[in-house]
Amino acid sequence: MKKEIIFFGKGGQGLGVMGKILALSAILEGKEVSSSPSYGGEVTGGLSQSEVIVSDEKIDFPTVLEPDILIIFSQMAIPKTKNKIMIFYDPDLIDAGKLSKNHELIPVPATKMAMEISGERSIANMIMLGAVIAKTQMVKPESIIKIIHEELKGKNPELNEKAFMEGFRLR
Amino acid sequence: MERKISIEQTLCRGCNLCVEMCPKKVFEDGEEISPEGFKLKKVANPTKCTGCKLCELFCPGAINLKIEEKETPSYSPRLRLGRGGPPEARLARGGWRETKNPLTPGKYFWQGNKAVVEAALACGCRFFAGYPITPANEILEEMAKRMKVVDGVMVQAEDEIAAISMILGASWAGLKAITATSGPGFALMQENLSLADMTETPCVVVDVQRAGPSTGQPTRPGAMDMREVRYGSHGAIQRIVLYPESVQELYDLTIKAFNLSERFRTPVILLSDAYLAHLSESVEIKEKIDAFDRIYIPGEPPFGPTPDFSTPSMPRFGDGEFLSITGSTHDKLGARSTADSGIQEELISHLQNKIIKQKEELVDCEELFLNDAKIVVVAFGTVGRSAKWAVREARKRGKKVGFLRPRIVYPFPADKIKELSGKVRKFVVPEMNQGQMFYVVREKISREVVSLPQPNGQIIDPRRILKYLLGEGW
Repeated sequence: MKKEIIFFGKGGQGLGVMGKILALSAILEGKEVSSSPSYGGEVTGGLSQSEVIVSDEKIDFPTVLEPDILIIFSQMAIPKTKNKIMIFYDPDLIDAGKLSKNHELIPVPATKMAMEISGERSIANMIMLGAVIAKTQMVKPESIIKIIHEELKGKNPELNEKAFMEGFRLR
Repeated sequence: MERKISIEQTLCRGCNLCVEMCPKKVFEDGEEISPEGFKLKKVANPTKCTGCKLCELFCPGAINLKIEEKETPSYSPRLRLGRGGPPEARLARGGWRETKNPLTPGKYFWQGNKAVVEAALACGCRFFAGYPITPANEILEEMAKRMKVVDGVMVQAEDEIAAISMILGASWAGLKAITATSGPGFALMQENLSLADMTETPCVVVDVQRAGPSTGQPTRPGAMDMREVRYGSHGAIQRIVLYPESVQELYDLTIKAFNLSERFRTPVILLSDAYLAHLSESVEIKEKIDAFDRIYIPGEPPFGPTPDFSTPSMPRFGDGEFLSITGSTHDKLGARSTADSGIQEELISHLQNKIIKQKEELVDCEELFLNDAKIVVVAFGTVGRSAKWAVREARKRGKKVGFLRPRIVYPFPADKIKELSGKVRKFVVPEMNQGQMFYVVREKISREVVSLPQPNGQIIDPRRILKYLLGEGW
């Protein structure tokens, strides 16, 4: 199994944390992971993109060529590809009408749910991650929870775990 | 060894210089008075003489010191004279050792730059000096954090020239030392890299390449220094240069760079680039590491030439050896000799041959589908990732293509390429520059070599290489 994933959104929406937690969980399960840089002085604070490839075998080329999964918090141009991409998006932030109907569109009202759970937007990323894991089964949810507790030590991992499980139950 | 000291009585002026200068009190006032009225000196304790020749140097002409060597000594008496220091320094040290990795074995998720730092610390590096430059910054930043933990030293130097000078100094003080920079900084280091060549100083320089020339595009990858690292310095002595392709290899080859540098007493360049430096990947850490420490044998001459082009023994300051380190041409004891053509030739031949004689051992290539390949893609470092993808895809489409990636770029594996050229029709060299290694490949063989340059500051899209292999243009 090899999955190429692109995270897209604005700086501060927790995309980096999301990618890192996914990557570390995959490594915990013995998978190979590559996350190529999307860094340049210019993009700080603006739109940001991060890429993660998760594979059972050694990864030849570490940058996403044809994405299998898109996780978007901001409107973006969908890459031209013959693949059917799974697009996870937040319907409150994205105009679904502008997304191509050729792909599998999966709305996850992450921001709205985050406000309902804790009154804070910051856990929307974990809700989204829960939904993605439930749908794709890339890694086991237990691995993600273990990593959340390791990585977000001191940053309220319990709340993040709760948010993740809420997202996970959506499917 | 016998030393015969004679004082020509007709020439002695009784000036007392020999009595004053001799550190071992070999000379004393004699009883005889010369016809001119000088109080002649005598050799009172000839057995104490160490042969330092200070008396002969200062005497206006009366003293004649002959050292008769029964067998050719491997070191000068001058060195023996200076033996001091702590008792443990008198023991020989160095060589291969198996060491425990300070990290828990397992899989880690690291950025390329972080892997360099952890590998350096794991094989015993305890000194870093550097000047900030994108994209090598994270090495400096991480070193600042980690050196504190392992009781090492991290210095942010005032510029790259100072940084390389510092690591050469640290190396002679007995530490394994490393610096990291990018193209513009590397250019500044060239002068002292030549000094490291000449003084046979082991050190590792990480060159995280970016799209140049000059400031260029600091955050974008390139492979712009591929020839500079080998031919950039005055003297252009044979260098060892490594270029990994993944974060895992960055870790493994950093350890290898230290081992090679300590074994051959030469600066080793570890190439990286802006893409690899910021690529995060899974890295497997093993429990044990094989590390090589420089060899020191007390009393052995600290510099080349050696009879068999082996690496000379390397003392550190404080071992009690007389140590003179000079960038000028020197003999094996470090004494300057700036006009003797023989010594110059011997030294250069030693510096060159101590690496070239081991070139079989210094071949480290990744090979794919070379058995029946008609076209071989020769790639270096990061471009290898693109090329490997393209070669695998082309194979799926029935194209007879192969893949060769030298992990050790220099000494260039010329024999390997020559051997291949017997059965291969064409070599293809994709590069993130305007075609640099292309010339190196081409000069070794008489087969067709095609350059696929892409100097645009982007990693080469593997689909572009695939298209070329399938018969479309570049």
